[in-house]
Amino acid sequence: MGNLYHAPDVVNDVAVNQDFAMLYDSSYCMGCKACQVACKQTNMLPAPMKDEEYEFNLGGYTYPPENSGDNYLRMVFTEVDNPNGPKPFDWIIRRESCNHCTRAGCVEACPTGACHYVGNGSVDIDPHLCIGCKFCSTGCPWSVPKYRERDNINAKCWFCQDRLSQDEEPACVKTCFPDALDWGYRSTMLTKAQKRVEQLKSEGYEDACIYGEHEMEGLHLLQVLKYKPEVYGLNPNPSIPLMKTIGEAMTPVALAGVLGTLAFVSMSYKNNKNYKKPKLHYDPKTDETYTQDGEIWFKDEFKRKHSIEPGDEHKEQKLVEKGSDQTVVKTQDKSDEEVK
Amino acid sequence: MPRQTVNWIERHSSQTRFWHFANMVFVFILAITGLFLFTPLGHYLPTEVMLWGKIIHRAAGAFFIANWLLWIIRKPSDFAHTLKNIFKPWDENDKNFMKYFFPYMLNADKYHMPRQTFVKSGQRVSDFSMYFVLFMFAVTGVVLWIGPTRGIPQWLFDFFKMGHDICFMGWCILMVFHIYLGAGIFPVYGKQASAWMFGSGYVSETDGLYHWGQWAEEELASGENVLEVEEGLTPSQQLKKNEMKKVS
Repeated sequence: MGNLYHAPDVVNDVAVNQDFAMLYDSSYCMGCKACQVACKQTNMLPAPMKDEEYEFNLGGYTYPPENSGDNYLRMVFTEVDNPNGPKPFDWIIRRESCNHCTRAGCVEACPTGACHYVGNGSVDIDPHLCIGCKFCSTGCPWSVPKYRERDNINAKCWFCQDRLSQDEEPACVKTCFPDALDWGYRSTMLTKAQKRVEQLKSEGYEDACIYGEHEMEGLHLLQVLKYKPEVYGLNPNPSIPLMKTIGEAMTPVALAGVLGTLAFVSMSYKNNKNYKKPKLHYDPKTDETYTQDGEIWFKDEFKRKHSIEPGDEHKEQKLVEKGSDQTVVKTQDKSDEEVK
Repeated sequence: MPRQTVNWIERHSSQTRFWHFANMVFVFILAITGLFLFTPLGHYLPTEVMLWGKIIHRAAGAFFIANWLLWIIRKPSDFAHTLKNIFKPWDENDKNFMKYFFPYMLNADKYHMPRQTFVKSGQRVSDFSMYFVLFMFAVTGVVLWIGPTRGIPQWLFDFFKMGHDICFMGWCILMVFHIYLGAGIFPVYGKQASAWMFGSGYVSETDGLYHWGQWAEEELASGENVLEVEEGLTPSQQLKKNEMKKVS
């Protein structure tokens, strides 16, 4: 059974309305993956137990190959040659989970309101409201929310709101023994991160930085990086995906289009309200269409106005041959004069 | 001599009308459910409704695609004929019809449109746009259904989500025109226009000659699809009467 109990109403008043953040210091991380295990355990997320279910990720220490609805957190390991630092080679680690944006694309994309700001800096997906449309992953710059088929919902890291409500820190933080993870007020975490960055710079990591201070108007997962974000495979300037932005920008255009069309047809309706359509009938003997007044229904008016009635050369010829219709010929002459 | 009977020409077969009706039902369901699924309007609905909305949206989408596939498989010649009509080269009449169609819509009294064949050039533009949008709807919709977890790359999913949104926007505009003209809200076409697709499928001689002059003249000359309807009767009543006569 899936973990469906993390509704936002379990969050107590202490946690709500306080801007909390998680600090991940990659320079302290030793890659033990205890955080991944703790996350799985706390959130009761199943792991593959059979060989055929296991998805191998050959050639790397990162596992699983991708996060999923049953895996909210993974550590990504990368070997880097000649990074801009004191070492000629480094084995760098970054945390891949929800960044809990201040301006969250998933919240903007969600059609049901399942993705929501909890109020303490976290962004959560309410499983009771989620319909599994997957649009949240479209709105997220990192495509973090993942579909969980067995529950038909999208799921992601939720900063263990159930633990927060019990004045406990998130499970991954609790289990991290090298203290690479920390939890607290965002301002406190930011100060701590800034100090650490200064220290790293003094140790020769010239590109040391904080990832998440300003990105997406401020993330609630702050990462201390030894090198530039690009080295870790992180987008230095994350934004709401262009395709979602285009889709949204089209909304007013489309609305204007629909309103314009409605205005046009309204005008058309008003102008033609009293239109009287002529009664027509076809006479197979003369191969001609007549109005109720017995006049030939020909495209004279159109011809006069625009001096064109393509295809009628053939018809005129036919009529002249029949010698049956002077009206048409006269009308043609008239129209020619008018054109001149 | 007053005419005792009025000629009506068969415009759409019962199969076509049924097919169109099925399309209309599916599209209506898709539009309503889609409106809530793809916009924040869904925030105001209970989750159960949204969940059922998603299921119904997908089911209607599947039936809609099946309806088209059935048509293509059962009547490939009809489908080929439709495509041929859409992509038929335009003659001067067609070009002029399209050129003056919008001014004509605004003031029909001032314009006298060129004679048209079975499908007017304006209809061809509309049909092409609708078929194209519907095709894109189907393709993007299937990708959205499969989702990024089952082998569809995330970027493709995102791209098709945007495509689905854009299709809906284009569809809304097309539908305003289609309903205005097709349902005969446009006073020049009149209420009887809706009967061509939703009623008997027959068009009166007057309407046929007015709208599709060339086609109607050909039909009336051949007499093949022409029904002589006694004055005061509708084509459906006349057909029933003819049936009764045959039986008796």
